[in-house]
Parts: sequence; structure tokens; C-alpha cells
Amino acid sequence: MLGLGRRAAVLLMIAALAGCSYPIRNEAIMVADRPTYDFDMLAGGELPDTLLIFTASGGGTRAAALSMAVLQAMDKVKLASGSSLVDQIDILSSVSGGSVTAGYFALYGKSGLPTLEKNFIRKDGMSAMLFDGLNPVGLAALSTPSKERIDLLVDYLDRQLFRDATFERLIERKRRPFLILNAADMVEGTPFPFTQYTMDLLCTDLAKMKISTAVAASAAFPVALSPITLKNYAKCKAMPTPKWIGEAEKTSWYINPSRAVSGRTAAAYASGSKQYIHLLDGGIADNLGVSEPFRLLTTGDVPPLLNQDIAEGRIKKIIFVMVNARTFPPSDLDHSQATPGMIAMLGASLDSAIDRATFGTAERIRGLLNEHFRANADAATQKANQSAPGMPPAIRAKLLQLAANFRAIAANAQFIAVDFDAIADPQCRTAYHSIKTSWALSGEQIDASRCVAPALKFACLRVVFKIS
Amino acid sequence: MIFITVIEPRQRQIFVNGVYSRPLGPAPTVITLEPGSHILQTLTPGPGPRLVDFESEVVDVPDFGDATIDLSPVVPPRPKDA
Repeated sequence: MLGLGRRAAVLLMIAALAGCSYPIRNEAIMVADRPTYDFDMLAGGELPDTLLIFTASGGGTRAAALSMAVLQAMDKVKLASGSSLVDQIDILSSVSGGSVTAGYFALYGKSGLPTLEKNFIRKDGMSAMLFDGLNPVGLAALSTPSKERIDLLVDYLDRQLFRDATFERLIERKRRPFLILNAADMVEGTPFPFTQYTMDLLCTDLAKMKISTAVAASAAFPVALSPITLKNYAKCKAMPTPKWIGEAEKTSWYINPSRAVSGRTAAAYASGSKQYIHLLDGGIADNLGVSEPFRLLTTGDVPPLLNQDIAEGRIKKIIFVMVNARTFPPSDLDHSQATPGMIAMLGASLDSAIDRATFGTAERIRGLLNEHFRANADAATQKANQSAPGMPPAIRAKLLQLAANFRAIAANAQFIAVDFDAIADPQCRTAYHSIKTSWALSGEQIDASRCVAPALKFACLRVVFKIS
Repeated sequence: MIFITVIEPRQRQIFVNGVYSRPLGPAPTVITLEPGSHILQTLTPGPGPRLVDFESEVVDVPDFGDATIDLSPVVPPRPKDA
């Protein structure tokens, strides 16, 4: 039996041996020719002219559970071939708690959902992580720079679900959904999607990145958890600076603010002027996981060029399923005249920023699907009808074809927003709106998610009628 | 969205903003892009390394705006990453 002094000495030695350097979480690209995670390399489902996008919001285990329930409901919607709607998901974009479900589903498909429920959704992650962090060995490790608070989440995710799997496993799977895990660059305040084109800017090998690290970055709630820090290896010979960045930098903020901002951030990554990227919960920039699919649908800067597939008529229908685990928990502040304290003010500042971002991104995608494609069709028609004398007939024909393609997509875009408002039963709805964000849910709260299913089934059936 | 009409060089595939995996066209054609600045190029045919042999840029075209351009020859053709 060791005495107290000796035990303290052992702990100090552990701390010393753990080293004083910060953890390196990403590896540099060594060669240009390497496995890459590209949408175009992944086999699609049975609906080649239909693009099915699924986004999963933040909200801790509540969000993970709701996303899982929606995927299970989609699995009950069968196509004529016997496969299900869930097998047709092309793009899966997520934030925070939703990233746990998204990452695991991308790795194992629907057959992994029971394991997700057993090993994560129904486990008390909060207690497990608190134990890991507060026992003597954990405390000693956390006292060194080589182990950070975010590692409690990374280790827990690996232990329960991901087993150190890297993006290489997704590349080897060779099938969709194309996974986009979204964190936020805490300095820029912009989304940071863990995609090939983003990691290429940092001269980082995405294939070697642990999925648990990306999920944890996506879920690194400010203050409670520390950021995930990536080293920027740019510039490197293997990855020349993409041409779109220079063009985006030339774009006036007043003409296209989102492109101007993404160009400025990408330039800072690609030039190496940002030596380290500190990543926090993606909810700071977009708590729905919608911003990157929106970008792919509207820009021609990074592959896949979905906007070109739409313009050329290769994509004729879009189904956009947006799962939003937002809640409206009652606050004691509403019943007290006392001046709110520091923690309450900090919490309110974070929550209101996240809510504002959520509202903005939801409006953008709704506008794109409901109005923008139709406006594109009208503009193409107008230009075809105004074509100047001498314009080659091929150009007019092309403009009319563009108009037809945009009109078709406008008529066949289904936006399905799934949130707790869809729960018909008022008591059940109120119960769900009161769930706080945490890594632990009671069995009762998880089971209650099943009352969301009837509304979802109806929505999904409507979609099937549309696509069949 | 903006409309860029490319007339010359005819019967050539167009590459936009350095995405060389997804050609558009062939010219003459209309390419739809997001508002802002863009670079359009053509590449020499293989075999061997493909070089940029025609190029043009449109700057800050606003939403629903349009431009008609002919790509200009790049002499001598230069590597894509230059």
C-alpha cells in the first residue's frame, strides 16, 4: 500500500511523463496521390436523379436520439425494390449531438442503429465523462497540456462507438451517404466542415483523421469543453492553392457575402497565416448542419458541383430532411427579479447566438428550395426571350433548357423540417421541449421519441408519392 | 445565380475556378454560377500533362446578371497549378 506522499509523487510522475506538449490531432499530407473522401467516388442509391440530403442538428443526446428516430422512421418507408428511403441518403450533414448519430450511421448504415442506441443513446455519458475526468488519474492527466477536457468526449466516443475508426473507413466503404461533420472555427465564427476540400487547405490528411475527433470538435460546447485544435501544415507542395479562393477574395462582400467570407477564411488556411485552427461546437455558426449542403447546392467552387448537376438536369428532384432538436426549456430567470449572474449571462449569450444562427440557416435553405430555383428559371426564360440578334441559336436553346431544368427542380423540391413541434400530443410535445441539452437522457425521454414517428411517417410517405 | 455565355474557343470543354474534374460545355454554351468573380479555362488535350491554353475572368457579376466572353489564348500554355 502506497502512502499519500508516494501516491502524490506517482501522480506527478505520470503528469511529467505525459509530456508538456499539446496533442497533435491531424497529420500532414505526405504525397499528393493518396486515398481521398470524395462524393463522386461513392456509390449512390437507386434514385439517380433524386438528391436526398439529411441534416442533423445539435442538442446533445436529445439530438442524437431524434436523428436516430428519424432514420428509423425513414427505414420503414420502402421503395418498390424493397430497399428503404434511408438507403437513399446522398449527403448527411450534422452538428454536435447530431454528429454522433451521423458519424455512426455513415460508418455502419442502418444496421448500426441498434448499437448506437444501446452503447450511446441509452448510456449516461455525463456521469461516465465526469468519472473519467475527476478520478485521480484523470485529474492528473488533465493537469498536463497533452490531455484536454475535450479528450473526455473523444475517449468516450471511441470507447462506446467509433473504436478509433478514421475517415479511411468511410473511403473504403465506397458508398453514400457522404458525411459532413461540422464544427466552427472559433476565431472566424464560420462553419468548419470536416471535408476533403477543407482539410486539403490545411495540407492535412483527412483519411487519417479519427471520426471521434471530428465528432467531438463538432460537439465541443464552449467553456464546458475545450476546443479541438488542428495544426495547419499549409503551404505544402502536394496541395496547390485552389483557384476558387482568389476568385472568392475578389468577390465583393455586397454582391455575395457568404462567398467573400468563405474565400477570406480559406485564404487564411491555405496561406498558412493561421498556424492553428481552434474548433468549437458547430452550433456557434450553424446549429442545423445546413450551411455546407447549401453551399454545395449553390456554388461551383468545391466538388461535388451539385448546382451544375441541377442546371444540367442530372438532378431532377431534391428531398431535404432537416432534423432540428431545438427545445424551449423553462427558465427560472423568468420568475426572479434578481440580477442574473455571470454564468446565467454567459449561457444566455451562447444560446441566443446559436438560436440566431439556427433561424438564419433554416430560412436560407427554405428560400433556396421554395423560391430561388423558381427565380433562376424565370431569369433564364427572360434572358432567352431577350436574346440579342446574332446570338447563336445554341445559346437560346441552352437558356431554355436551363429554365426547364430549374423549373423542374423547383416543382420537385421537398423540404421536410422535423422538430418536436411535429408531435401531435401537447403533453408529449411540452415534455420534449423541456429537455435540457446534456449527454444523458432518461429511458423515459428516449422512449418518448417514438411519439414523433407518426408525423414523420406521414411526411416521408408524401415524399415517396412524389418520387414514385 | 449568374449567366456566363462562352462563345470561343468553340467545341472546347470549359473548366471553372480550377475544378478540373468536372468540365462544362462544350462552347458555345451558357454556364450558371453564383454571383461574384470566376475564372474560366480550357485545357490542352492529353496524353501527358494538360496545360491551360485559353482563359478568361469575370469580375463581380451580381445576382441574375450576365456576361458574354471569349476565352483568350494563353501563350505559351502553362501548367494548371501555376
